[in-house]
Amino acid sequence: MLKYVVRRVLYMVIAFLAVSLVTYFLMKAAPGSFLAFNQFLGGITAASINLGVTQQLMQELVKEYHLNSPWYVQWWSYVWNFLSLHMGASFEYPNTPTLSLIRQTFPISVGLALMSITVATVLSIIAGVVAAVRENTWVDRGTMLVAILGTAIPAYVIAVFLMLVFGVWLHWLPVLGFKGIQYYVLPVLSLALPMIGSMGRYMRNSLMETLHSEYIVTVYAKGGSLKNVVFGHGLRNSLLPLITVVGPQLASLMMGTVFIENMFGIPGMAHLFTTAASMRDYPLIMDSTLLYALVIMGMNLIVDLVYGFLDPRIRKTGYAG
Amino acid sequence: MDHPVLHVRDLHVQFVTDTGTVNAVNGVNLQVKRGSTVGIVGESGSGKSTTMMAVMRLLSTGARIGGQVDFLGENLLSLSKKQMRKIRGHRISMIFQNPSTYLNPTKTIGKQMIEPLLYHHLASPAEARRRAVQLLGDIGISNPEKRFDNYPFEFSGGMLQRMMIGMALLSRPHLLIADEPTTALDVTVQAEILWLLKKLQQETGMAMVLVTHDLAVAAQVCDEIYVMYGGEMVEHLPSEMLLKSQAHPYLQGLIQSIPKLSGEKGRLPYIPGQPLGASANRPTGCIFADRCAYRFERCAERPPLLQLGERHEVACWKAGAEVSV
Amino acid sequence: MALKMEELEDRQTRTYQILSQRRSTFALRWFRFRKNRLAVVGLVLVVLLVVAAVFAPIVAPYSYTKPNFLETFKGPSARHWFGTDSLGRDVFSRVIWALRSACIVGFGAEAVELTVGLMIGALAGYLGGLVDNILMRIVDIVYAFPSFLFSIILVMLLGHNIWAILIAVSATSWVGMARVVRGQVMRLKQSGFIESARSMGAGNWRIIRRYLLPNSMGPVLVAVTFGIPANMMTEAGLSVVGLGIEPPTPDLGQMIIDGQQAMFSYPYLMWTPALLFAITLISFTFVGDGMRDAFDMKGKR
Repeated sequence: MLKYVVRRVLYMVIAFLAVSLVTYFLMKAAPGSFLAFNQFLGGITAASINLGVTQQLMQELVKEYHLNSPWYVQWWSYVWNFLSLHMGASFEYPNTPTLSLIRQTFPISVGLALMSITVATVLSIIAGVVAAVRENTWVDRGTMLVAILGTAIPAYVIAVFLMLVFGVWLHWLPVLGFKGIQYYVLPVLSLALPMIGSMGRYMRNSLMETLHSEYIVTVYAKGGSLKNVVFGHGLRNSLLPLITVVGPQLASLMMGTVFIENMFGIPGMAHLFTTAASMRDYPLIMDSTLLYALVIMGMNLIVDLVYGFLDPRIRKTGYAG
Repeated sequence: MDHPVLHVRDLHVQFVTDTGTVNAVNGVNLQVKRGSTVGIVGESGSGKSTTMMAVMRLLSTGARIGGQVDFLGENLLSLSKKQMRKIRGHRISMIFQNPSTYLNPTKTIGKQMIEPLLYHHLASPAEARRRAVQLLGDIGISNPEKRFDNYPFEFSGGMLQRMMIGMALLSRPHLLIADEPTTALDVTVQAEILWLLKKLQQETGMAMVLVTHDLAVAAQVCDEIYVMYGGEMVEHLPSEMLLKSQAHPYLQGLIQSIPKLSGEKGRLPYIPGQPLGASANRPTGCIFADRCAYRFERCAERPPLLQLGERHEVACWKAGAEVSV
Repeated sequence: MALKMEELEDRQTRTYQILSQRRSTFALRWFRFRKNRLAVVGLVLVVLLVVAAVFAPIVAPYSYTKPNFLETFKGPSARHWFGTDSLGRDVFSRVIWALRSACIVGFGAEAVELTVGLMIGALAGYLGGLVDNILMRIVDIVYAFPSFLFSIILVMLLGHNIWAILIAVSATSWVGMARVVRGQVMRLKQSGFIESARSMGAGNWRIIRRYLLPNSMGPVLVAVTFGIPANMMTEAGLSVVGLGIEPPTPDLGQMIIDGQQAMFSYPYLMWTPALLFAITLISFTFVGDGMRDAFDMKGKR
């Protein structure tokens, strides 16, 4: 078990470095740079307008990010700054360190993601159980049709229809901004619904497989009811594999927040990233990409470990089977 | 006369599938007396397991069951689902062929074992635990207190089957149905399990139905044996008569094809032809006629169960004729 | 001599058998596909939508760029099915043209993914050993990439034109295909008929081309069918965050975002492109579901 964890972490380190290298070279190769962009603007507007980036500040940035040094020094300075949490000044917001920008925005994105995953998990378990117990009835087919529709449509299209119905027609919920709990409802639903599609379907199939297995016959032979079968045996065995589905879902969920934050005007991390990308704010792009990579890899590792912990065969012996 | 614990009358089971109707069990009759052990013998596909699953009403919803299953004077087939649930695991228990697939791999042995008591509100969880641990010890599992919290994968096949038997008996049932309880086990373990079953039966006085394809097992353990072929009962006889007075050509063929340790070595006799498929069109005559060496004209007509002696019936014209002549 | 003739005849009959089997396999698959009603509806819609996108210049009743300031913000009507936008442009025409962009990226990126994924997956699965190990580690690493962020960075690098977006979309999504192909190849490698082909003197390349690829088609085709709408989603998604195809080329994501600005006064500007996009994506998904039925892959993910 320990060997497995060590190997996984090693892969994570390699993957992390690979992500940073690729990002670094892509940014370098991109036409136009923040410095050039601002020097150009600074040239025409002279010092009449405070653009936020003065000549002196620029030199500081050059120094901080070793912009005149060989590539590997530059690359490593990005990675090192990130790892040591000395994420320096961003180009776009030179007076605010990237770290504090991320600190302001990251919790919002994570909160949104966690809320969505919770809502999605609960709803998909309910949908899956209902469909599996009512196998091949119209309840089953209807639930699963909705599930397929959910998977087929991305969060931002679902958001359109949610905004339209609950914001424009019914005026029940706000569609823009981020000031209170009611502002969370539509974004969370938009993010959760596509996940319910695949998770609910998975839940149903997995539960149905369990319900058709031989040890369920034993439960009935003991005098168990459908309730005993589903809640005492079926659910626990189907929840286990569901965890493996949640992992990859989390990654796509983090990406889903990118659209949703932009559409609902939520000042989260994804919003920060897209602004950074359009302004060519390298430190910010680098740091947020690395953070996302870390989150996604970390989530997957955690999911695998939790899975291992929950399955007694793996927990007690270190391997499955 | 003593009422039988279980009395199955003219049981029919049909499965309706996409490809057509399968006649799995066709007019089976059997009786299980109080405290006795009845063996149901037949090859795979003969309908012996299906018969017992039908008695327990554990077949999938696609199955159509006809006939009558009287258990302690109550027709199980006419009970509501809820009433039936109260019988399963309480009055009638059942154990299965392969304990490792018939137990939930993610739940501990103990939790699964006490479920019959909890489902039927026969004991509090603490009391159920105490009784289960004691029974585990009684049936030969060492360190039962600790073993109680093990998972199935930590048990050997033989230990799992012991635990299954313990689970089945915890609620003190009137009838235990054991469906091929030793088939998936090593030969040495088989004997232990059979001995345990027999011992427990004598202690509790319950009746038992043993479903098996192994004639030797049936002869060892059972008082009476029913032989099934193609979803029908072809012979019923006391087990001490199995080797001497077997009457049906099918049963004779089965017994002849058992290898013997003594005597001359030679080619083992076998029954030519294929067993009757459940989905095949059923013949109007004797279902064994196609493979039977003693076939004659009368076999075009379906033989009824003919009484040969006390507790000895056979569905064969030839065997019946020999007796009456 | 006589024996040889017999052998020849025997071989001929066997060839006929195999040929007729192929036909019946296709017939069986088509039969299974047709049994899924939604898949048939999806297929019809996909064909209609793709034809409309390909023939956008003929199908679209109006120009997608030319403003008409006399007819701004006209709601849906017989003349303008989906209404007109702030510049008086016909929304229906713009949606059809946007669908064209979506299709170019959807199918184009899928072609790139298929090519790369087939090559890498087949190589890794067939050669195995060290090559497989290295290639799969690379695939694992790409899997860990925050893919959408990479698409954004790539678009930033390559520009906001349709070809740049096509590359950006396929850059990270080929790994899924590579995994599917590798799994299939590994499975087939273990089955007997490769051995017999090799014993008859067939070379590596011939085996890959003649035996492995045709037999691993099912899951690959299914992955392609699900890949196309996924690419469309990424393409439109880039526009949603303001980094997609540059105007005036219409784009579904862009139209949705533009429509959102005026959703309280002119909601049709938002929901018409969204609805068409949703229908497109759902149709592809239904077809993919039917393909799963056809190749008997239900329950396998």
